[in-house]
Amino acid sequence: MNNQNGASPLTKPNTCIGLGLRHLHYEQALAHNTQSSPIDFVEIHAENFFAPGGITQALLTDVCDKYDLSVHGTSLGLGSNLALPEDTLKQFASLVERTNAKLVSEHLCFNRAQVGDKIYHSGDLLPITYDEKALANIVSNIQQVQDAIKRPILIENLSAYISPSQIEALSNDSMQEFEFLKQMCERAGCGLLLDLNNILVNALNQKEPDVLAAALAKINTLPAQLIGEIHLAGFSEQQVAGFIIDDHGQAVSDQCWQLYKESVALFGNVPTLVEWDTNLPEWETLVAQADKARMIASGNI
Amino acid sequence: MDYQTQLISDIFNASSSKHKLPGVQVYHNNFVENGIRALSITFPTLAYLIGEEGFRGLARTFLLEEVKTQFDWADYGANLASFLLQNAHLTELPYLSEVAELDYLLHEVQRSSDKEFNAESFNLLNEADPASLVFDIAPGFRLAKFYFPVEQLHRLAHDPELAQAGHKQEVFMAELNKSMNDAINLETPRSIVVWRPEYKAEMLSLTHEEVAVFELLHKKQSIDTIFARFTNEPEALSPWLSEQIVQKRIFGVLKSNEV
Repeated sequence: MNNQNGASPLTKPNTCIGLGLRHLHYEQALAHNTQSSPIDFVEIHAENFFAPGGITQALLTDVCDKYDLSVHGTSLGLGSNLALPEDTLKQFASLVERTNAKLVSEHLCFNRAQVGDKIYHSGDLLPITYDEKALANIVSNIQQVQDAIKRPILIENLSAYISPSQIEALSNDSMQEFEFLKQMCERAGCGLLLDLNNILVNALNQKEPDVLAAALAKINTLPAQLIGEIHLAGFSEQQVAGFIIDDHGQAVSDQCWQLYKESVALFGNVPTLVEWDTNLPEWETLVAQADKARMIASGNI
Repeated sequence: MDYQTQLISDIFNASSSKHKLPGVQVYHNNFVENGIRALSITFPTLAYLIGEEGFRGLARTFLLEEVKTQFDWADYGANLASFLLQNAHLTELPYLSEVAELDYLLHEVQRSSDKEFNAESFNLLNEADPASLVFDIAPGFRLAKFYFPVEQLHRLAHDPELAQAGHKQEVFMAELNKSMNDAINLETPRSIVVWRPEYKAEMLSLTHEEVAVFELLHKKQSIDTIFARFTNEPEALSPWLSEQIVQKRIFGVLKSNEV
C-alpha cells in the first residue's frame, strides 16, 4: 500500500520535527514564523476535530494551510474485543482525508467493554493482553481502519499501570510487548509510533534498576523499517497511587533526550513529535523543545 | 467476566472486586480528571458560577453516576441539567440546571454543521409561489424555554468587563438580581432563539408574539404560512425579514421539494 506521495508506507522522509498542537496555542501556532524557527508538522488529536462544523473546522483549514498535519486518534480502542465503532471510524477517516494528513496514528490499547446492557467507554488507553487472540483481534481492527483511511497507520506503544493478569487471573501474556508490536506490524502492514516517554515511564514504574538500559534493550529489538514516528515527552514527578503518570506535563526528560539520541542512531531520520498536553507552557518553550530535537536528529548535539 | 470487562467495571466502580488495586486507581483518577476537564469545557458558564472547587465536586459526583458511553468526551454531559435538578445539595439553586441546559445547547450549536449563506436564493421570493418555498435557517437554529435569565447569567460569566468592579457591574448586577427575583414568580417560561451566524453561537430573547413566528421557522413551515402571521400587521413583515437576514438567522430560501 502506498501513500498519496506514491512512497512506500514505511519509507522515511527527511528528518522532520513537529509539535503537539493544543487549544491554548492555536493563535501562536498560526502566527509562528516557520522560516526563522522551523516546525515541520503539528499533531492534532483527532477527536477534537470531529465536530461537523464551527470554529474548529475553520481553524483546521488554517492550520492545514500552514503546516503538514499528523492526525493522532485516541478513541478507536483498536484492541477492544467489541466491534469497531462505525460512526467514529467514519469521522476519523473523513478527517484524515480532508486534511490530507502526513501522518496518521492510533494506540495499542482497548477502551470500552459491554457491562450489563451498556457499552462503558473509559476515555482512556488501557493495556491489552499480549497473546495470539488479542493479536488477531487488533490486526483485524487495524486492517479495517487502514481500509477506511486508504493508507497504513502507525500504532503507538502504551504506558500501562496494570497487567491483565492482575485483573483476571487467566489473562496471562504469552509474548513480550515488543514482540507483540513487531508481529502486529508484520501482519497488519502498519508501522510503529515509538513513544520513548512511555517506555521510560513503564520502566520506572516497573522499578527497573537501570531505566535507560531497560528502555534501550527494548528498542534494540525493533526493526528500523517499522518505525514511522517518534514521540518525545516528559512527566510530572508527583506520583499517583505509587505510579509515575504519563501526563505529558513537563519538558522532555533528560532520559528521554538520551533515549532519543540512541533512537536516531538506530532508526535514522524519523518524524519526531514533542508532546506536551497538560500544564502547558508558553509556545516559545515548546518551540525550543522542537529546536533541541532537531539538533539531536541532525547530529549537532 | 473477561479481563476487558472486568477492568472497565473496576474503573467505573461498577464492580468492587479489584478497584483498590493501585493501577486501577490510576485509571479511575484519569477518568475523573479527564471528565472534569471535558465538562468544564462543555459547561463554562456553570463552572464560572459555582467556582472551580464547586464544579470539580459536582462533576466528580456526576461522573460517578452517569456512565460514559460516548466515544467523544464532547458528546458527554447531555444529562447534567436534569442531574442538577435531582441533586439534593443544589435544589436551592434551581437556576443552575437551566444554566447547564443553556451551556449544553450552545455547545451543540457551536459544533453543528456549517452552512453557506446564499444571498441569491432570496430572489426566489419574487419568482416562486411562497407556498412552495421555505426559509433555510442558520446552523444550530434552536428554540429553548427558560424561567431564569440564563442569557444574563451567561453574560456575567463571559463578559470580562463585568468582572471588574464599577458602575457597569453594579448596574448589571442590579438588573440581574431583579430578573432572578422576577423568574421565581414567572408562570410560564421565557423563550430564546439560539443560532450560529458565523463561528460563534448567538442568542436572543423572544417576546410571546415572536415565538410563534420563530417556531414556524424552526419547523420549516412554508413561507406563505410564516407571512400569514403578519396579516394583521403587514408593515412589520419587511423589517422582520430584513432583521433575520442581517443577523443571519436565515441563510437562504429553498424550494419545499428540495428540503
